[in-house]
Amino acid sequence: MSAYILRRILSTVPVVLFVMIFVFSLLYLAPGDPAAILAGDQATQEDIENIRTQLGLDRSFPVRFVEWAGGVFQGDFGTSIFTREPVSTMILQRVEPTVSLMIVTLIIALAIAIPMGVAAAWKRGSLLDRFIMLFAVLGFSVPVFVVGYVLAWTLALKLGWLPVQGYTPIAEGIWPWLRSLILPAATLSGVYIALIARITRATMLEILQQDYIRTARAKGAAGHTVLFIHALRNAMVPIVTVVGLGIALMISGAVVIETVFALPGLGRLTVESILRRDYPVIQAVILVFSFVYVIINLLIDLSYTLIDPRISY
Amino acid sequence: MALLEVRDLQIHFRTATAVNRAVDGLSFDIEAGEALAVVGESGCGKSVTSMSILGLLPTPPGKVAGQINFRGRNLLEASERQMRKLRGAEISMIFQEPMTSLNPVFTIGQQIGESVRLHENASRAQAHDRAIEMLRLVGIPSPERRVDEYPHQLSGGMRQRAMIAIALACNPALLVADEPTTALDVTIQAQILDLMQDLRSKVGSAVMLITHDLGVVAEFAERVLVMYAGRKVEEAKVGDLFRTPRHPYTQGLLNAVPKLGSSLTTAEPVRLAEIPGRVPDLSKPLSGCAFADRCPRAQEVCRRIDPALEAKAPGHFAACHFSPREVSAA
Amino acid sequence: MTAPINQTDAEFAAAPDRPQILTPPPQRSRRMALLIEHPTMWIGLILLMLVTLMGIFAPWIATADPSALNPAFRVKPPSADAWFGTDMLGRDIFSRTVYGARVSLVVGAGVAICASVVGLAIGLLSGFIRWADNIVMRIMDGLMSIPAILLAIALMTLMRGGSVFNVILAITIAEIPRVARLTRSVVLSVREQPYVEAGKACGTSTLGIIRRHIMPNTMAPLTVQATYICASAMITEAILSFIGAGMPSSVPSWGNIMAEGRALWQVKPSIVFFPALFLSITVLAVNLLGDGLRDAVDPRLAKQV
Repeated sequence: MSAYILRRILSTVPVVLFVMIFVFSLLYLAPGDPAAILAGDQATQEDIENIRTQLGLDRSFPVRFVEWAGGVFQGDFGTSIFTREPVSTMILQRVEPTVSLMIVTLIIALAIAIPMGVAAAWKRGSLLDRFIMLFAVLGFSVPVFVVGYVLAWTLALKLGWLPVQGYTPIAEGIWPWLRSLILPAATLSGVYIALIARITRATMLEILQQDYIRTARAKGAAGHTVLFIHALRNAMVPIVTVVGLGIALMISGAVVIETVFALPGLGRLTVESILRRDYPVIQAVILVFSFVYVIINLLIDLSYTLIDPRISY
Repeated sequence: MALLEVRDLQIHFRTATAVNRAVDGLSFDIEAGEALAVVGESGCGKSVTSMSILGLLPTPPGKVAGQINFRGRNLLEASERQMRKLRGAEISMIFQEPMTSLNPVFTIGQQIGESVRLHENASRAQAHDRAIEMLRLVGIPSPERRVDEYPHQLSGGMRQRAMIAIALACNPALLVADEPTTALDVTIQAQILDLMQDLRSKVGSAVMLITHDLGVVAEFAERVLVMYAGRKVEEAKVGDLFRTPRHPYTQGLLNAVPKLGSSLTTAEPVRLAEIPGRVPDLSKPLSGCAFADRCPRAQEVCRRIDPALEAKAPGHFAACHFSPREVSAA
Repeated sequence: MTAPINQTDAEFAAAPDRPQILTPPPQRSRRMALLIEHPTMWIGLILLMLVTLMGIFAPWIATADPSALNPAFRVKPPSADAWFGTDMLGRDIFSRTVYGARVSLVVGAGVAICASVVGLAIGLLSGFIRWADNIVMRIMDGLMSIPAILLAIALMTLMRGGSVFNVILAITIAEIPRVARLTRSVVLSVREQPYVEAGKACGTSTLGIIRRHIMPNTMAPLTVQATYICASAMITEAILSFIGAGMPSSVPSWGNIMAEGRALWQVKPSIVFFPALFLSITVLAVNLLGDGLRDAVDPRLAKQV
């Protein structure tokens, strides 16, 4: 058991290493000379050289990589070219809206997608099933920002039910916080719902054919007991796997959604940094998001033992 | 009034291109406490019949017509809620595949206890105790430990014992066993049959045993019903059927069973007889006798006129134009 | 058993009638059945053809030069002159939207083709060469652990500046791992098949195995995958343009038109609305086509997913 966990953790090392090399190369190869940028417009060639030596930019790629990687593990992502602030500080300031957005999105998505997928599988081939599957295709096809604008225009702008844009920190109260997140989270959950509903339906269809479902019905269990207790428990492994993989979709969506709804999160920071060509920040954001993705999927992998008694390591 | 009376049962399925007549005009009775065996090749409608008794057939694409009277009440007219009350309590079922018929994510105890909790309003603790008691009854060693184990921790024979425990947990009046021993080793098969026989005398349930294995029939049943292509072709007491099979299909089946001491010990090896040809396509309309194409006795009339099921001897029925009648038709 | 030569039918007891309880399903021709079973695929195909025609014949359909500035005629609502209105620089949104089909289709098709070809090559490589497998697959895992949009953003900022080529390149790199994984899994499963082993024993070369066994088994799932990649590439392109990491804003792509409308969406939603509508319809068409293809390719899956 613990040997497996150790092996599984070790297996993420090459992935993390690849991401770090990739992200570091991004800065290394990025157009523009950070020393020249830091030195400012009036600097002489000598000033620039001094800064270059100071920052250690004159050393070789491997040396700089090891030094940079060491910094990353201590939470040092360098300094923003634009604001001159430490990148780690900028990221910490932006974490709350993004994490809030993702949690609310995840809750909305699971609460809607799983019943949808189960219902579609149960009433397979019916009008309801077709409708749900059509919704899923639409979820994949309509880009997030389009959904965002449509929802914001109708629910916020025309009907005035919810704030149009902006974020209220959770410190100012749960309800205002939630109100500011409902629209963006609903928008972001669209693709996620499509993804989870589809896998739920497919897995449930397969499981409903299983002999043990027949056994449960032969015992006299009611339809909902069979569906939600006997079948869904068995469908959890594929569903949880897709939820983990879907985090990537959610991160991509967050970058866009935070722009549409003016949420001051990591996604918005990414877009701002692209426009400012602030490479250290872009680098750090990609790194943080990728780490989160890898760690969540690692945890999901390890959680299989809790979901399915047949899986043991 | 028999415990279960099936009358003119028809089970048809609509596929994309045709209607498949899986069961077509089947009638039979099961008395309380009786053991009836239903025999036939795979695809003859045995399993579908058993599923229809519990109301577990998906409709659509299937459609069931006729009557299934259990204690005088037609189950085909019962609501889903009424059927749920019956399933697992008065009519239980054991399936062919013990390996896949238990839910892998719940413990054995939870699965046995579920019936008890559903039908007897038992508490969690009571259900757990009953589960241990049932495991002991079906002969699983150290039931206190096994009750909290998952199906994958049990062997095939143990799992089938657990399935029997689930089916008998609420003392059903009728137990439908669909090929309960087919997937098991031969030695385990005998143990399971002995167990079922033993429990039948203890619990007093009637058993409808579905099988394609005539050896199992001889050992277990009192009466036999032979099915072919969704129809009943012969019905008799076990002894009568084995002594004088009256339908050519039954005769074919009996010839296909190796007899102890025949082929192995005689100097000249005796070929095991097989029935030539194949089961007819049930999605195409059949005229005349369904067995005509494979029957050694078939005449031209067999392809035109569907033979009625007639009493050929007291308590012995067969559907064949050319099987001699020893009693006058009732 | 008496010979029934002189018996009449009446002497044979006939079983009672077995009534019909289900009406037989209607008989349809194969083609009709295909059309009826996969109506969405045909809808997708027709929509996609319409959008393609719109892209090809853009110069004839557009009512104005998509790049012509008209400072006197800025941010106008839809009218008889400018069907979809004009943007902040006075450009005709209808004409830009019509031309935008070209960008989306070229990016979608370009990425689908490039990612399929390169991914196929990588998948074959790692499926056949043991030592390469480990390295290549770790790189693919690494690429997959960076969310696609972020990866594309990173590559776009590296390449400094957008052109259609750069956008296709960036999105292709982000999509390659999916194809490589698919191909590799097909190779691994096919390679273990007895008939392939037999072929190898008889001296079939690796290339022969690829041509005769691997390719036929890969093409169907790969085609389906390519359709989905096409759809997702179109969305990624639009998102890149929308957040300012895509093509130069002068290029009339649907993402760019929406990016220009971003600041004004609360007052002039039409600037965002029309390109959004076209983008959504096009992606939907490609996805419907993909679903239909998947159903046709794998009837077992068709029943489920």
